[in-house]
Amino acid sequence: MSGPLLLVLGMLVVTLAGGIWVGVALMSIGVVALEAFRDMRVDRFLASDIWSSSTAVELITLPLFILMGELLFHTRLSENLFRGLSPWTRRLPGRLVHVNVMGCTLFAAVSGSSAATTATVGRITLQELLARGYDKRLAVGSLAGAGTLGFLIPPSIPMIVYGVVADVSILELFIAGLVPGLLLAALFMGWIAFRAWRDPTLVPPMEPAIPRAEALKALGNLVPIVFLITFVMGSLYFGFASITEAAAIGVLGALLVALAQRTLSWMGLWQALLGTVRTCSMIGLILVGALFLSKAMARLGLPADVANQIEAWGLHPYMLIFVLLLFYLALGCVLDGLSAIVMTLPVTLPLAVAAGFDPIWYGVFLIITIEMAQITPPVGFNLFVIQGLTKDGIFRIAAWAWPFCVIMMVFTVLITLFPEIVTFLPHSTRG
Amino acid sequence: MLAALLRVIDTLCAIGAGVAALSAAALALILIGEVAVTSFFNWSQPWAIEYAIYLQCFVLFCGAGWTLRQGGHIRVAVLMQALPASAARLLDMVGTVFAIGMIGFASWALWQQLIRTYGFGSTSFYPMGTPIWIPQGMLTLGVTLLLLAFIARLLRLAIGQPADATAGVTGGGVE
Repeated sequence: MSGPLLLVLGMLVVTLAGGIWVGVALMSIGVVALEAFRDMRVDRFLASDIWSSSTAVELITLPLFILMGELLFHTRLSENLFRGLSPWTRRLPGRLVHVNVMGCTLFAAVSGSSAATTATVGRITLQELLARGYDKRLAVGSLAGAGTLGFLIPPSIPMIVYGVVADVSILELFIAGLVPGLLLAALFMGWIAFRAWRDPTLVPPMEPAIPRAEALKALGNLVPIVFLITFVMGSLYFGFASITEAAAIGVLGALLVALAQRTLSWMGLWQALLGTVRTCSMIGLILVGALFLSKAMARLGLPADVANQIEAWGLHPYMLIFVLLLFYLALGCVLDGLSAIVMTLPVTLPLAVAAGFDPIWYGVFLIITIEMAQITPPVGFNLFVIQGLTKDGIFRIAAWAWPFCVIMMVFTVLITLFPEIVTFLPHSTRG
Repeated sequence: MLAALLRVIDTLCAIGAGVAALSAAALALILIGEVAVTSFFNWSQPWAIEYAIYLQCFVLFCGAGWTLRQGGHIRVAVLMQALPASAARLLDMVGTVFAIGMIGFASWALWQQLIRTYGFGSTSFYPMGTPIWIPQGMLTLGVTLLLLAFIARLLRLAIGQPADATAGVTGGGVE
């Protein structure tokens, strides 16, 4: 192993394990490596890089989609979702548990965050499911699993970050996430149905039927979210708006829903803005650190070194993806997904591309691995969110969510064998 | 004396967060307005994207110090949680000193860049030709606030006060 590589890996382990803030750690490794191995003005390089990264035009959708999510937290969408969807799950084995998955799928189509999806959908569904006597393991586990769809179904905050770091089209990533997201939701529902069919005690006795007319009327509750999805994602898919425009329309749409439902006060609006600042600051520091480190590593020729080394092992492309999957699963246990992606991408993306994988496909693959990272202990943001709702320990919640994690692993095998699941839609829109 | 210093830093960081929040609102308004005028009147504003990008930069960095105080920046806490309280505090202090060194270097580099940009009178390559030192100055102030927040954090750890205003990860956290 070369000197620079040893230094970078060693510093990564020491600074991260020592609890240094991720963005600060990444930046410092870049600075030290350049100072040690390159004769250059590192201060000038760092300053100009911070400036150009933080004014990158590709990032403009980030604060907008985050603000949209914050505003939606101040609406009654979660109640709406539960009321609108629950009458329609009677015939499915597992009944109301499916509302978790369906609600998360719909909410994911207006939210770029999996923690926000879990929190928004879960604060109503969990309460209702547990009060009606549904099995806690299935109710909590399915929420944890389905909540992660917030990353895969567009809009998606990590996809924006991936697009910026990997320099690929964010719009194509968004389009690529749609079919895998819906398929994964279908697999989750299949598992819930299977569990409820094998063990009927997981579900309470049937409640009296709801008249068709009332069930249809309940669908009216879904109007706000359907309005938002058509308004935002519709304008994107059908090419009426660029991604920046769609994000701005999304903020407007969320504001309109909140105003129509009379749930947003001036104080709430200010809280939403501050929440946006908090999340943007957090992502901004990590992103600036990661972009600087990746440029520093490129100047030291590290990604090529590592790629050559691993290529020399002569791994089959499937084997490579399998190794990467294990690597990200292990990383996801101790790191949040976003940090894991940005700090490893400069090395793993060239590897995947050299092995013949499409960068868009690799982005979706990584998004699924960080979805798993959201529900693997001891560090998993969805686990923390659910802990806030149910007060259970995170290892217990993670154990309940484990089957859904396994489904996602199986799903990565599926998209590796049939990459068209991911690439078909974005390639067809390329024309 | 120390309490007054901490209060000044907290206030400055909160003002920074306020600037960032207003920037987020302005950013959204500008882009919503831009969508409206381009789609209905086909009348694009040449300044919209340029100013939006500067506002984005303020949203990302002006609130960085306040976010640190809120415990909002990500770090790996596994080891720290496993250690006894006194050792964890010591490790936290070492980490904070490290961060002061790194962010101190970054702030210094940004101030140097700001002085150069001002001296050259550099302007943006967008139609408005904005003098670059104005948005760069805000970015530099934002990172300097982060430095101050790390210094305040070190002082708090040294005198045994809680370093984060809110405990750990709270529900509804958005990533």
